[in-house]
Amino acid sequence: MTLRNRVLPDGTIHAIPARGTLTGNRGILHVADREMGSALWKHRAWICCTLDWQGRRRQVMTGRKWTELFFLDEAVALAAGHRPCGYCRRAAFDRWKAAWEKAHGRWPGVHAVDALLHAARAYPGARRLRTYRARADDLPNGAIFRRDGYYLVQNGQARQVHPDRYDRADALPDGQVDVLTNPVTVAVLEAGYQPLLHQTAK
Amino acid sequence: MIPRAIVARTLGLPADTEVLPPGDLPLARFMARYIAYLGTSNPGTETPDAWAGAVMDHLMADAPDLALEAILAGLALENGHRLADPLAELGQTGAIDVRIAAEAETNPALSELIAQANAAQE
Repeated sequence: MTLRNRVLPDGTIHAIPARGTLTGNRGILHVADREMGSALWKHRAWICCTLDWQGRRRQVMTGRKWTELFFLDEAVALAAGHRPCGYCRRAAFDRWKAAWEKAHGRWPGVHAVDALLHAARAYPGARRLRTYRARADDLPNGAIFRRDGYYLVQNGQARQVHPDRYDRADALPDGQVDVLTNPVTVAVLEAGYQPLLHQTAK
Repeated sequence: MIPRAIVARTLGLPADTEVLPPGDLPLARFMARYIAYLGTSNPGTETPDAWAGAVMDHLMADAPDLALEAILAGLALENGHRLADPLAELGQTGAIDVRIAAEAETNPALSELIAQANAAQE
């Protein structure tokens, strides 16, 4: 049975058999073993983590620990509102923090950062994620927008995002698009943070 | 009651719209639809109750006291603790957490919901 634990760039969670390259969590979202509930998040510390950390093994979506979510790669995780984990992805977290300070000024602490990210990514009462409109050619590398699908911005071009891969790069569309990566994170990308990309985007 | 003008503005409708039912929106009617909305497995998709999510989001941001009144009205309508998550979100929006704590001292259902919300935050 394919579990409903794959996060798409718009932050929604689906049952997709393709494997991701990063995991992450938003709290305990499953209501029984291997059964997801309706909540999209339970706390504000939305992180993305490495799949392999100190050889530990977990039975996914069981017990009353966090619910394991999966992403194609870090660009998708960032678009879905997550940030690098400070434990299992310390080097990435430190790069994120440095880019944050370049973009937003003094690092206010991880809890304040999570609150700022939450305000930028979510409609809390509606349990939905925000998007905003911008020109595709104004977006930095690593940002993801939606038009007739999801697209990664990379070196002035766009790659369509699929659950298991990226398409080859093509021209950016003219005009406005719906940007999925929240503006707080877009500023971090503009400041030079380079997300870990799936091999089909390298 | 949620003022009709707030509902109209939240949904992008003119103040004199005839699309909405006449009068203000009773909290119990609103919360019945909001609780149904919280039960949808994918709130990113359009559902008939999506408007209720938009209204609650507006209340949390601009009228937190009224958002709490709505949640209190909703306590009588459900026992599945779906309101724990919105309550947790509301409690993190500012000074309303003081009122929530005060209400909980005399409202066992709210106190239980707070316990659920706190457990989910861990």
